[in-house]
Amino acid sequence: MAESLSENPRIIELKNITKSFGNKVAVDDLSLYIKRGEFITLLGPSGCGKTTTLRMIAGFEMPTSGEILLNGSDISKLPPNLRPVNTVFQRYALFPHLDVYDNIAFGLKLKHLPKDDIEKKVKHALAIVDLEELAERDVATLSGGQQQRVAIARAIVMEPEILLLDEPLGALDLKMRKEMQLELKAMHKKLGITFLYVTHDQEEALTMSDTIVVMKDGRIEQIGTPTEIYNYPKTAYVADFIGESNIYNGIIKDHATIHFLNHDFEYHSKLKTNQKVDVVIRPEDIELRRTSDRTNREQNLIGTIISKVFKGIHFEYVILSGEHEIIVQNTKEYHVDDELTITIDEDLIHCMEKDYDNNIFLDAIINKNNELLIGSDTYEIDITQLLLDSKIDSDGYLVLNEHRFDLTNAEVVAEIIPSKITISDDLSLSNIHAKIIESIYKGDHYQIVARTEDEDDYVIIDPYPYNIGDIVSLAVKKEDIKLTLKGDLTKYEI
Amino acid sequence: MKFRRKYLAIPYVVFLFLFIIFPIFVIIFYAFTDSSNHFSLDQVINFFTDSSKIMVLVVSVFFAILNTAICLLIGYPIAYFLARKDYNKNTVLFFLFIMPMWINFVLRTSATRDLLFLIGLDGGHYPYLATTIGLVYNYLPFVILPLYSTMIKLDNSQMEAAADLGCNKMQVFFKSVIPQTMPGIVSAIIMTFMPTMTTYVISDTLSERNIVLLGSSIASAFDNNNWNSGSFLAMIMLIIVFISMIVTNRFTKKSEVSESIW
Repeated sequence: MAESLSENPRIIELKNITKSFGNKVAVDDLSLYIKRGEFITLLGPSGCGKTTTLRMIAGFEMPTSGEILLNGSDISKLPPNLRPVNTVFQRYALFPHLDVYDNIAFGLKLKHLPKDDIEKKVKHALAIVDLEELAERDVATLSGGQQQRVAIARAIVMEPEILLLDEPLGALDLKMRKEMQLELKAMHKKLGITFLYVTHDQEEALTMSDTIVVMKDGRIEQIGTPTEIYNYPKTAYVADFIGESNIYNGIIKDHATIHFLNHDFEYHSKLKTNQKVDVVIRPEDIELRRTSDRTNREQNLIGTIISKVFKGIHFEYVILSGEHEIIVQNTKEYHVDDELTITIDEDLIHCMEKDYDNNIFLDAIINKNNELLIGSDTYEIDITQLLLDSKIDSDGYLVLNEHRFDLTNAEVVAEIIPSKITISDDLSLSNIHAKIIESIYKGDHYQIVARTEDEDDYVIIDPYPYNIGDIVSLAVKKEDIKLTLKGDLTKYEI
Repeated sequence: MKFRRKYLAIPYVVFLFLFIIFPIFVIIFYAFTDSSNHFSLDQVINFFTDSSKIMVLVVSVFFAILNTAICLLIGYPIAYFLARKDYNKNTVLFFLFIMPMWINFVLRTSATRDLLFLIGLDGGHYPYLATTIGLVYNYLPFVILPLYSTMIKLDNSQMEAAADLGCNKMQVFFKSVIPQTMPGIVSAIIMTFMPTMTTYVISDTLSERNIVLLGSSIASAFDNNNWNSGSFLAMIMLIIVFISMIVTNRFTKKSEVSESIW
């Protein structure tokens, strides 16, 4: 047994796991493996599927499809009581009718262990969480932090192969949380069992984890060590979620130059010339220098401080350079309205291929009123763009010279440039309503992703922020929708 | 005089003395006196030497226990499914179950008698069965209501925690659901056990006076102007109330009781 264990360093493996609740897909074809003994964190905003993933490993939810392998054997159909896995719940879920000792002994008693063994194990668990004196106490009389410790003791006393922790520190105050973070990390080292931790707190994830899995919309966005995730985010989404960052639209000019913030920077890469990229700069990676008369205004990036906040170990400045805002953390003190030269070391420029560039709808249809149908939303469009110099006759057919075309039910690809979509809180402005699911600041504008009820995502560029979860109306002028017909026009001729 | 908040309690205190404390003393006074208001233990001796009176007490306790047990057995699963959102999407079903409470009690009982007569379960032939059916029918809503109100607050994560720590479905029920709903169970017992002992309309109507419960014998004692005997029986009942309260309280913690509808 021991040999086979050492051969298989993957304690748990999720294979193409999908979980849907009705129409909503919570976890979407997710594959992941966890190494024995590691501290792995699923990180993401609420609704990203991280808790559902944990609950499937615990056995509280059954995957809609896919396999969960524990030490190589499929456990996805097993009920929770038959899995060698224990959970620390978000709201502790202690049994109020039992005292601290009985709460911790609960699982051991079910195993019918001898009384002496139970007592020894419970005492040991109490010692690990530092609660020896409180064994006789009623759980209702304990503080939040103490209840949390009981919940942890109750799970680790079972000696699980994997300890699942579902946002266990969410209900604690900041100081307590910081303390528990370090304690959990120490406990992980001491116990040597695998920890799977779920949180939306990026700092918590960075502090404790060996491996971080950043999730978004039921999928994995990036897996890596905390330093990898922080220093080399793969997408603007990850960069925005992990720590504070400046994110800009950039373009690769040549193999040694990148252009962003209206300025050329030295940057050697293998990316194609003219490739559009997202550029991420951490606020602490930007150097500041006072501008002097000798500063070459052409070659340097120059900005003016518009706000300054003291943060204890550093100052946080917002610097305006042209239209762009740059957040900078620096230990040196400058003042609002100071003009500074900004330099960014080549190594600290993080470039990633754009996650969004354009709105392209591959399954759009033209209806009988010559309107565009995307999902169930209709848009007014100009179908004459499909044929040069054509017109629409009184019957609604597309006409050129003697040819007439009936485009009803024609399948088209529709393309809308993000900046051409008008977004508004006023829902009466259009019939197309969508929910904001993402909003990333890019120096001079927000890149917003809005999702309609049909689950069509729109990328919108707007100078104003919208709150995630807000319902907004979207409007597009008909000349801004670019259409490409699938197949040849001649098949629509009548 | 300055207004103080505790003056608001005056009407309640007056009510308490006039209608609760004072009558209890009146009952105790009559229980231990004779018709000329002299102290006497006649009633004590009467009660404990008369086997028919002891029998009434035994039958009453029997019916109270039986009714409470049946109501809990039927009402518990009903309340559980009514409180679960996945089985019961709206509260209509819940109101259907507690609706009998809103119909006049005497009317309801007469209707039950006629119905039972129609299907051949008349009180003349089946006094025990008819009475039991009538009692369960009448008290079921009083069991469902408090159980429902605790089950609506069932903490799902506690049940998951129990399963996580090794409970199978049966053990989850006994080790997590039952303890969580204990306040509701206690309320349900209080709301059925004692009222069953005191009821006389149901047993009189449905058993066609073949079964005499404590309530009926108190009523008939008072009807015959036998105040002393009636009061002594009432006092016995009070004692049983206190005993049953103490017993049920043992099964639950004070903090939990305050959460139930009592």
